[in-house]
Amino acid sequence: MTDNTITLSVARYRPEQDSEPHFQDYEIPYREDWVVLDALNYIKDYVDDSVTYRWSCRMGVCGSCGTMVNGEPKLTCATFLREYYPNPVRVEPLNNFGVVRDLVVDLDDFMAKLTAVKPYIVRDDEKPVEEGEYRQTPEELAEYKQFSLCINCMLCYSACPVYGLEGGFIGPAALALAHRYNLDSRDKGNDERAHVIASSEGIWECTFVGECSVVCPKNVDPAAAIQRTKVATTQSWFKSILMPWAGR
Amino acid sequence: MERHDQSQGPKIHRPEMSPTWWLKKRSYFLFMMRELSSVFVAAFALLLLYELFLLSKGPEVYGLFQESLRRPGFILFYVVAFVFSVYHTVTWFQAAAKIQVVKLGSWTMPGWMMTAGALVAWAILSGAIAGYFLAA
Repeated sequence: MTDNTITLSVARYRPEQDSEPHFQDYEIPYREDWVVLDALNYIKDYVDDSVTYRWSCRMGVCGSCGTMVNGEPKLTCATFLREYYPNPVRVEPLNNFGVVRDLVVDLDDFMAKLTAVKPYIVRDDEKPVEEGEYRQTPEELAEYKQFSLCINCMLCYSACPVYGLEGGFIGPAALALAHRYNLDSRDKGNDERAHVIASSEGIWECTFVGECSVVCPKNVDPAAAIQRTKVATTQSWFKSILMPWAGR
Repeated sequence: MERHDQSQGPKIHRPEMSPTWWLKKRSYFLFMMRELSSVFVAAFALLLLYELFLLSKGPEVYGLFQESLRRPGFILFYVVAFVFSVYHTVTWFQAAAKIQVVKLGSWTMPGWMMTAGALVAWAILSGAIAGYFLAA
């Protein structure tokens, strides 16, 4: 431990006593190998145990520690203090979400939208287990693999001004996951998802700002997924008009 | 302006976006400029169509209109429209590379290669058209 310190300016909102959020500064020891989550845990353990935030895996997999760090959506477990030191670090709840307490945001809207796109393999018929797995070629896997890396951290929602302005927008992660399953050779749920993703609150709300892809910690490209879904949906619509006998 | 959800359950603070959200981040500002560029591209296209329409009114009317295009206001508009048109085109090719996946056998063309190819083709075509009219 060095003698150097760093200031964390943490957004506080305790609904039972605060009418709106305010910042509280904590001066804590600085360590070069600490991420912002380590700093929050230090505050929680040694300075102020009332600070509330979400975290779990501490390795960029669970997607639960997303916050705004100096105005940018980040995973606190993957954001080092040394990127900001010696300047203060401002930690706020994710933009575009309701704040439940301190850094904890309301997940209900996201969860409802995620569920609506059926982010799982849908089959017309399930074959018996004894017949084995549904096999894929490496090429079939490559079709959707990038979009399967989403960890539902919601940083993309936080960066999306359309979601901020039009709360009904289904949003980047859910639409990217819908695209991921639509591309999966084992999936037959395209039609079941179509009425959600092609609705007025689906892909057509997206104006292709592109920040969702920029902030994604797993290099998923939700913006590309949404635009490609627009192309696929348009092609499908034209096909249904020109060749109604062919099906989708 | 901010609102609170006072219904049953925890009191959730819901901040609202500022009308100036697009001024707070460079990428948001550039996005808004990309959207705004469409207005200038459309205005330029309408002006060009009007100019073509005036061709049908005879050389005198068309000549008077061409003369009016030399006013500082029109020149300023053309300069601004040109800058926005270039920006619109570049961002359009960048966007197209994200949207369209080009596959040659098992090889997928990288997005940057698609954008670069489109920009080079655009520059060559623009140069050829400009050369043709300048030589005429």
